[in-house]
Amino acid sequence: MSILTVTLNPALDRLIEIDDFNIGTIHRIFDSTKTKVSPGGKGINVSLYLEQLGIRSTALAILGGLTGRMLQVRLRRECNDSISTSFLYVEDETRENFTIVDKKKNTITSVNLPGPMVDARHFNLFMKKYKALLSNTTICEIGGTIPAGIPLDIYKDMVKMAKEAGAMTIVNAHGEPLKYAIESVPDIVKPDIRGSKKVLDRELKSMQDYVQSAKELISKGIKMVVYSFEMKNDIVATKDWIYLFKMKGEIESVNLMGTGDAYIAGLIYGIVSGKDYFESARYAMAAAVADELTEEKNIGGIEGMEKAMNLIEMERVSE
Amino acid sequence: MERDVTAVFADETVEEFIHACVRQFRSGLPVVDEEMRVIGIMTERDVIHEIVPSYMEMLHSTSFIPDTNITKNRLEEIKDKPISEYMRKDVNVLKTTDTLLSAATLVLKHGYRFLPVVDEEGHLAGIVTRSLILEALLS
Repeated sequence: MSILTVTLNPALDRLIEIDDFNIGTIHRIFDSTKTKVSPGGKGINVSLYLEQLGIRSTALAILGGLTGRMLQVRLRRECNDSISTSFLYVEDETRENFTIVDKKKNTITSVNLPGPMVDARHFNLFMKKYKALLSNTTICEIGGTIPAGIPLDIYKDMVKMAKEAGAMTIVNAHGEPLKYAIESVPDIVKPDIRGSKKVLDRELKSMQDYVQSAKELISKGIKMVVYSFEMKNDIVATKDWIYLFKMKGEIESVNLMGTGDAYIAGLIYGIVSGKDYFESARYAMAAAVADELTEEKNIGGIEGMEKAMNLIEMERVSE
Repeated sequence: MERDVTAVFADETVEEFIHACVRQFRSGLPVVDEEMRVIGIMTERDVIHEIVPSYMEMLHSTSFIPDTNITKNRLEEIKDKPISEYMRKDVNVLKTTDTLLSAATLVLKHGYRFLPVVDEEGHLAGIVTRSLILEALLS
């Protein structure tokens, strides 16, 4: 199977550990192990996690400036054997995401910079590259924010094009881009509700809200819907069942960054391995849990993921 | 092999090609069709060959060039033209199954700075550069 991950607005992720982080003060870091730089953005993260599971993928992304160059070099050097890359370069800088982890106060502070401006000429070139890559793609994962200059309804076209090319489509997005993507009925949708808990004008508060929203999306023809529920659990729906995938007990979370992308990678692993949606969802949640147990973007390979499968259980919540 | 399938299409312009090379620190790029099959390569040398008067090759110093604006004007003339007019179509390609020796033979012996690598179906799978060959030979 050929897997394509698409990241319109990738980022260079900078993780900084600062104990007693305070706003309005200077924090000097003397220990270099307290800062980490890694290529990021939803699709690129999914490719990185897939690599850990021994699955090859092609990462298509828009890069710009020196930050983009740095991202490209790191991705190429660290993952040459399993991640193919196709980049479109623009003038403006690729964004950087800063995450400050304060283990003492148990807080995470994120500052996400804007991405580059993509003009019509570069946008058209990007879509041409996308179409060309789709000709040899069986699973297409699309996710993340959309940089300035690209229309918000782009995911609608991208899903449509991928389906026409015969690829299975997975969308992991939020807000307007997600709404437009749904119009083209992707195969699998994982709404990103970290910011706003609103999907298709429905406010998600109780479990019933999530279940109703999942049912609504399934009724549109989407084959599988995944909602992150109360941080560490998932509500997963298909036309035949809706399950709550949850932790068996409390686990000590070391990291909550990128777990959604680890989820998608685990899901793809299940699908590529010929599992049904239920089993694939188990692999997916296990990958996310394994990632949660480590400080970096690391699920410990297939072994780490399979080990984490023992930590989850499933409870049927609706037909 | 570097698994980078960044490429240009034959209908992109010479100007777009130059910008793409500068931003990627590359001296050339594979040219692909709409299904990512390699149909040629385009290099900075192909552009230079097109814009520098042929008699320059006979001169030993640019100080003998009567008018450097000739080059600039020529670039202005071709910058909006498609790559297809200047790319090399009869280029050798490597296969993912080729050995280091055959890659080294083609790249080093024939003077290519890079060569595209294709899979069994002719889709671009990556590139091999001189420095990658040398690095592989080192190890």
